[in-house]
Amino acid sequence: MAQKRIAKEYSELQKKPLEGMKISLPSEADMHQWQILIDGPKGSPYEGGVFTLHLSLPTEYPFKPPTLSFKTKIYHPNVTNDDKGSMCLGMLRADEWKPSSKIDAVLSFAKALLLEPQADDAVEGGIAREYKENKKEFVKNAKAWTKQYAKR
Amino acid sequence: MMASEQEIADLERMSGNYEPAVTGPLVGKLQSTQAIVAEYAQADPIYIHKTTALPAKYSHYRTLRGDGNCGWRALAFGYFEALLRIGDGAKILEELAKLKEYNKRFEAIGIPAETYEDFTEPTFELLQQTVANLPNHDDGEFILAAFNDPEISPQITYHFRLITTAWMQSHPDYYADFLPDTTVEDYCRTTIEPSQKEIDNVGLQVLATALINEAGIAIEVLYLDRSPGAEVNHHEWNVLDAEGKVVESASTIRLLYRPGHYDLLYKSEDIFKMSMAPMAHPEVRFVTSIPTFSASDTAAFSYSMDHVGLLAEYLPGYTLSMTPTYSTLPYHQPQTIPTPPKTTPSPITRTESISPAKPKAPATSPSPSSLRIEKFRTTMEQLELNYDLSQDKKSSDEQDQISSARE
Repeated sequence: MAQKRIAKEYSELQKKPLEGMKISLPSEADMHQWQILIDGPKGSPYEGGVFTLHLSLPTEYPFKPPTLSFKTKIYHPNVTNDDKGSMCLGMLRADEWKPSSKIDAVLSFAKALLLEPQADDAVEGGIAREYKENKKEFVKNAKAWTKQYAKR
Repeated sequence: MMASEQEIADLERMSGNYEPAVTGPLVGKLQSTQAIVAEYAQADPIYIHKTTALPAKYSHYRTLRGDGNCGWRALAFGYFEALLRIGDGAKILEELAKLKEYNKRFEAIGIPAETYEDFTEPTFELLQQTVANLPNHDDGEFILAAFNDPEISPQITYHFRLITTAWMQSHPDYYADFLPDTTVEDYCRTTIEPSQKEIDNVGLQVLATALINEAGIAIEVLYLDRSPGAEVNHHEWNVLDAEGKVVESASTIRLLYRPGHYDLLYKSEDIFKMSMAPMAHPEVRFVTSIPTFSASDTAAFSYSMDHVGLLAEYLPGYTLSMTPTYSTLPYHQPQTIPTPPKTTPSPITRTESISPAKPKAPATSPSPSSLRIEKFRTTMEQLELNYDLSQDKKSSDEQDQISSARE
């Protein structure tokens, strides 16, 4: 089922792309690994940057959730500040994942998180604290990182 | 001699921390329940008593892989197995039509066809395969094979979750009372729809109401836990006839519950029915279970006649003489009472059972759906009561029992 459904979702997203996102397959032979280029949403400190994300679909997909990671360094409370750049919360958690959810929902969810981080569900405690207590400083840092790492 | 605290702790670890296999078959082969007795031979006396009493009543069981889906998978598998055991092709086609009709409910809760079809089609195919296998006196190996297929098994199992969430969300007012801490929508989103959340009592009840009991199949759950008593506690979700009486002869899915895990149990007669040629003696199968014949029997009969054409699609050799007899009547009766018999009922138009239930039951004769909802209330109250009792007793009685049994 995984192959069929992934192919179906991929072709749908090629026909009707999500705004501000470009999806491609790094290897045509492997439908399970997607590359997504996502524009930093307007009104967020990521505006003006373009971020490369990697979406990995397990062989058990859709019964197990996809994993999403940022290949571009990003200053964000919900993305691990390491070489993995993992984003794992909400609908992406194994115990919350619903097989009826689709990849477009996952990508929209990621985009929404760029606009509005979930500081209470953070993986980067320091960034989360700054986001909550000193938003100005957070915005400044996020913008600086965007400029440094996510330049077009 | 009193057991030391250490010994009690060891016993608890041996019995209470039962961990189901996470690598075994998705649904195991039939095996003797003596295996469960042997498994608990070293456990504490409560478990030894309860497991030793099992084989006398329940001769066989199947293990299920403990992957967070065991309860759902056990019920889905049990549903197919029960349909095969009942052995009524017309009935299976009725189920098929009912389930196809159910797809509309998925769209109503925002799941489009392109998404749900992946989960529903394998169910439909297996139902058709079940009909096609009836004349072969198949013992259900094809069902076991489908449920161990890593592609098909999770799809069918997930279909059963979708049925449950769709039913709940189309009766939000009924179920709101039983979810004091959450809304029906949230409960479905966090407990029913995620693919690795095990079934709970509410989910089990809803699936029984929405599909399994409606199909004339009862559910019995045996709880193997540390609560006091010589035998396992059990609870039944029964099939009711039009008067609300329990249909004793209903084919039954039996689950063995150990905290966090479900396996399937069988009585010896379940096994016998399975291996018996199902279509060979249609007239004796339900002879004792038919309560009364009323004006509705003509409707039920013409209804089963209506399936002959459909059956022929799957079974070229299927003739009028093989038309299922009144055997299906107990299950059809609840549906034929509220509406006047139709002259040409077809399974596609018989949507009464899945249309939203009317909240108000007529004072004179309650509708089947109101009976089902009423049963839900009673069941949940009983379950809560059982739960309260076992919570109260656990701390003091349990310790006493363990100590005295070891003196």
